[in-house]
Amino acid sequence: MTDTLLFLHLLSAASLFAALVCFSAVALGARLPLGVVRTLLPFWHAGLVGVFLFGLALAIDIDAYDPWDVWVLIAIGLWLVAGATGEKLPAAYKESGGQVPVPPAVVRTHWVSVVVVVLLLADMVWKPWV
Amino acid sequence: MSVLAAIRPNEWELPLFIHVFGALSLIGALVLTTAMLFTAWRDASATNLRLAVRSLTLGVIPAWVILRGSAEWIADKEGYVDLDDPPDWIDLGYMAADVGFPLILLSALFGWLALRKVRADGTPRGTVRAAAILITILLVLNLVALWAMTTKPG
Repeated sequence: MTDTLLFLHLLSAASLFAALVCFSAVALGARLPLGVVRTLLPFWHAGLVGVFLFGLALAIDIDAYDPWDVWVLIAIGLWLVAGATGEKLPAAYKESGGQVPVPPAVVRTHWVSVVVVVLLLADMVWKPWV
Repeated sequence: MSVLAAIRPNEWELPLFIHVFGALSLIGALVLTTAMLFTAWRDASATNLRLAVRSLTLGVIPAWVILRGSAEWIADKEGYVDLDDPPDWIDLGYMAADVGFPLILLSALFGWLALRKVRADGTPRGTVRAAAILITILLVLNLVALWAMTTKPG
């Protein structure tokens, strides 16, 4: 059970990274077809929902951890920031009809979401204050 | 495994972080490359094919290097390097990574040949299909490796 949850948690993270790589290519100036960005956007949504649900299930399932541990609360905070920032770039790209460059403010917001997702991964590995 | 993760020594954490980061970035870059190759297959666009080749060379190859290098580092830290009969999940991980690199190089070669062909006469023909199929196989292999690394069969 734990191993399956861990696999689904990491599969969701992979889905998140797939969308992030695609959006980063746009942020770097690649003129990706709108269809590709539209296809990868559900990967972002599914990844966000998956990492949260399976992560929470893991924190409950494993005796050594609790959902109110500091590292879990940090992860939830980072997850909220990722959710709030990650969709700005694909939304702006779709709105512009696939024009690059995307406005600099949107690109900055995108890099914030990249940093937050990397910090989320670091939090998962180091688990501060466990 | 997760109980082990809870008590793993601190010095394993940096190589583990880099390894997971490399693996997730590799899968991400493979998804983008696959999407671009299939798009180029469908519309025979030089722009899309160029983006696919760039995603392969600037995304997939560096991510593979990070994944493979950190795999060796973490395997060494955990004492799996010197085992005569390593667990199946270690073998699966090494197989996915080591079979993966020739597939990446072949796909890059096919992608580059297709790009030349498209620029010359507008038809990528079989080379873009070959690159797309190889990269899809590699993506599936890496998803199987992700399953093996997390569920640790054997």
